[in-house]
Amino acid sequence: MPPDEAARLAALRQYRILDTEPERNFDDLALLASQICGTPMALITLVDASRQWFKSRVGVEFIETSRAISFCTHAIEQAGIMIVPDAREDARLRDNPQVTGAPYIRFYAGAPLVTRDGHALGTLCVLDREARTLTAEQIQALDALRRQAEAQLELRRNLVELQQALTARDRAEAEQAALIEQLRAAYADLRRLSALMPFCSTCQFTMTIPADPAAIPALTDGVVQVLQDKGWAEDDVMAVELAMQEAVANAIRHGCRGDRSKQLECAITLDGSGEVVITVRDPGPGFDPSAVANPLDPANVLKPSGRGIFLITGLMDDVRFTDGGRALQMRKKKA
Amino acid sequence: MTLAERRVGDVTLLELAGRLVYNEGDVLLRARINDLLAQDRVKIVVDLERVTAIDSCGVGELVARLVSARQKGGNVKLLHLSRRSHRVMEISKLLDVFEAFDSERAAVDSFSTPRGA
Repeated sequence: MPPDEAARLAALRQYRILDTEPERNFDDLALLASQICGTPMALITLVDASRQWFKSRVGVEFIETSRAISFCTHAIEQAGIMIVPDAREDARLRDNPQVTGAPYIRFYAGAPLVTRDGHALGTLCVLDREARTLTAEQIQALDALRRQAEAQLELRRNLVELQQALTARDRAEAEQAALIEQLRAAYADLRRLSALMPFCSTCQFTMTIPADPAAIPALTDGVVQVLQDKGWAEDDVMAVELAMQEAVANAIRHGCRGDRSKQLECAITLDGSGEVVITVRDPGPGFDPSAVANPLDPANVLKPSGRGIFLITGLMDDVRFTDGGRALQMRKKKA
Repeated sequence: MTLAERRVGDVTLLELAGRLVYNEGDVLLRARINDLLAQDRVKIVVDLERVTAIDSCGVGELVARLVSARQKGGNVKLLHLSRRSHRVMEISKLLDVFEAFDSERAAVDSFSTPRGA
């Protein structure tokens, strides 16, 4: 086995050539090899894990053989052309059933087909039932044909890669088009809803959102939009936005322990009196709000955390915890 | 959030843009300031002008880096507090903890002028 066997087989797969139909470009090279070398048989072989498969064949009936009786498996282990003038005198081949029985192969010359990464995938080879050898000119010609076969293989791989790139591009374009369509539809829905907003006497939204910090801006942006539509002052809109950011981040961080598979419930009510009521509920174990340390205490003022609830209380008119600390309800009146 | 870095003498200016909130800008800010402190670049000005959202985690991160910088004999000062960040700092009573400036020049110069001088 070649030392790079696993990588070699992986490379062979990349060419997507095994078990494909015959192709003129390869067949012509096998034919020329057979005619120039004057042999009744010529093959373009590809050595797979347990078989050798023939992309082109001249004077050979079958399309593949077991690798165990393959001549080419030896050829791909060496650099340059492997020439066996008489297989009966070659230790590797003398007991091969293709030598001891039909088709009684005697002569073999195989030029390894090497990829741009240095893996020998198979050979261009010529075979004869008579013991013989090749002239220097024939060896040179066989090597030239080998280069042409390699070029055909590389061309094929480039085409495969090009097709893959085109398919990936088409898929990405289709996904992008679908996404744009979704966004367009969502935007149209939003505009319709938004147009109704100034006329709504009472709005109520109940949302279940994933415990993912990335979901927070969509939620806060939505509430900002509603309050702006209702003519709230800029500072108050900002206060509600900040309080929501805090409340939802707190619920994700503490109530859900940052587990994005969990979900939060967020209910927003805006009634005719101009008061917004926001409730954020998490599935966590709850907590005792009275046990939260005062962040303004000199001992706590330089601590990195513990300001969230304090901030919400400072921004909203009324803040209370229910359900053992699992639900936070906060209210603010329009000025 | 994105973070651009400039140097004026031995003072490093960090210009933040985007959301300095839980799980967004906080980690980036921590890593960058810790890197600076490890290189003994302890005079740091954080420009908040282009910060679009800030929460208690963002503020908490600024406090934590301030403490680290002061432990190394340096400081973290704030530049261009937006209304939003000003409000969060005000409620959290952090306006007395941080030195904040409206001009870059004043922020940079403050490192060579003792406070109150």
